[in-house]
Amino acid sequence: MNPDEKFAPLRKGLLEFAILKVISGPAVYAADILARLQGTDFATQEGTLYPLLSRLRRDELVDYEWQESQAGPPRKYYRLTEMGRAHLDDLQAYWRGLNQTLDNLGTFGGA
Amino acid sequence: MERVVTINLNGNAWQLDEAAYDALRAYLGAAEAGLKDNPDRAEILSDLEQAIADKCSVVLGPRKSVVSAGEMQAILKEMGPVTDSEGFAEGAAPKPPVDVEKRLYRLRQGAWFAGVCSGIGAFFKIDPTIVRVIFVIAALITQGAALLVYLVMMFVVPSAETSEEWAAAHGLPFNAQEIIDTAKKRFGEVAENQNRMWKSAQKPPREPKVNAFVSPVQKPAAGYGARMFAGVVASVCALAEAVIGLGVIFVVWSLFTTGAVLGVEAPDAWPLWGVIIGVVVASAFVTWPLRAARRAAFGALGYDAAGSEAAFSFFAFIFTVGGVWYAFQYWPAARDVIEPIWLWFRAIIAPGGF
Repeated sequence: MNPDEKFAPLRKGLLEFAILKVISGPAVYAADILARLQGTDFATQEGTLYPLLSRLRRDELVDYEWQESQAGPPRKYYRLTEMGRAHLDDLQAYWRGLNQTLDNLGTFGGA
Repeated sequence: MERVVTINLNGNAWQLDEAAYDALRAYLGAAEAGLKDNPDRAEILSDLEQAIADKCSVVLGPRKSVVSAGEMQAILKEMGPVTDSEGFAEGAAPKPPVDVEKRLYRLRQGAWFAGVCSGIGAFFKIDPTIVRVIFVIAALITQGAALLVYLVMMFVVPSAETSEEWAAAHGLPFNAQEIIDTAKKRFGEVAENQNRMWKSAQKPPREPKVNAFVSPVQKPAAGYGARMFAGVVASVCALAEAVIGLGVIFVVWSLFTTGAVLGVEAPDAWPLWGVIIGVVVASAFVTWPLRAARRAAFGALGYDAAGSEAAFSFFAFIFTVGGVWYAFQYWPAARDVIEPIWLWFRAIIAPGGF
């Protein structure tokens, strides 16, 4: 089993983290998020993204506002709420901790 | 000719061909089913519709106003299956696309004749032209036997009349039976939801399809097995009728020329014309139930009475010509009968000989 397969469930679990991270920058709409994730290990599709975004909004981690676009109808631009930002900080801290632990395992004197 | 369906996706009108419409309906139906317990279902579906609409607008241009089935399938593939995020968080893997059960259908769209070769081509994923070439070569090698195979298939293999059958004929992975079934199950529910796109989907009544040899198919056909059975009955009855018809012609001709049929003399008490009328009446009695069964079978295949007659005439003609030719080639006794008829016929149309 190659690492790609092995870590598939992990990547799925981390998708929410990855999306929060994308949204933490300047306000983005759905297609921007997909484009940003395209080519990374977290590449995903509308069918997955939209239900996930709606849940994040229900959990009050993200919010959106409608913005006019030059082409076509107005779009939903997502950004993090205060709660979302705090949640992302928690996730990042936890992830760094995990990485540190993994790096130190197998070395003497590590935590 | 293809029918175009106009739909309303998030307030904008789009034109899709029928197969594209069915694919979209299946996708949104499956999405709606998948999000059944999601409180934001309506909003997510509207976002999905908007995303599909955006992708449609990329495909279309000033000179292209209708989204084709292929394009719609590419768009829906790009969209991906709709996974509810709750199920997703638990690590439920999205199901891989299921291969539909492939079935052999005749495809009248793009057919040269009855669509047998197009159907075979779709089934084996090869160009129908190649199938046609193989068929012609096979017909030459087998001295026409392959043509009989074609005729039999023309009646036994059902033609694909709906988009689902069309997809099954191609074994398209996207239109997986599962998705179609889900969509069908959900469709009643969805249709009631007046705020959604179905309201504005205007589906005009099915237009009759016109085939060069067989008349318009009027009503939707029955299931695959039933249509196969009806095809067998129709062709067997038609064959029997044609054989009886030929027999009557032979008997009448034989009585007329020799006063006997295969060595049996007509009764002396009857005048010749009386015997001939008797034979014709008797044959009419024998063919009556056959004709009724054949009409019923053609009815099950979707033909009306006139269509049934047209199909039969054509079928009988081919069988007569083919049967006489085969008998002449391979059956000496039949040759003895046919040859004088042929000579007599030739003497009438070309007294000087060819």
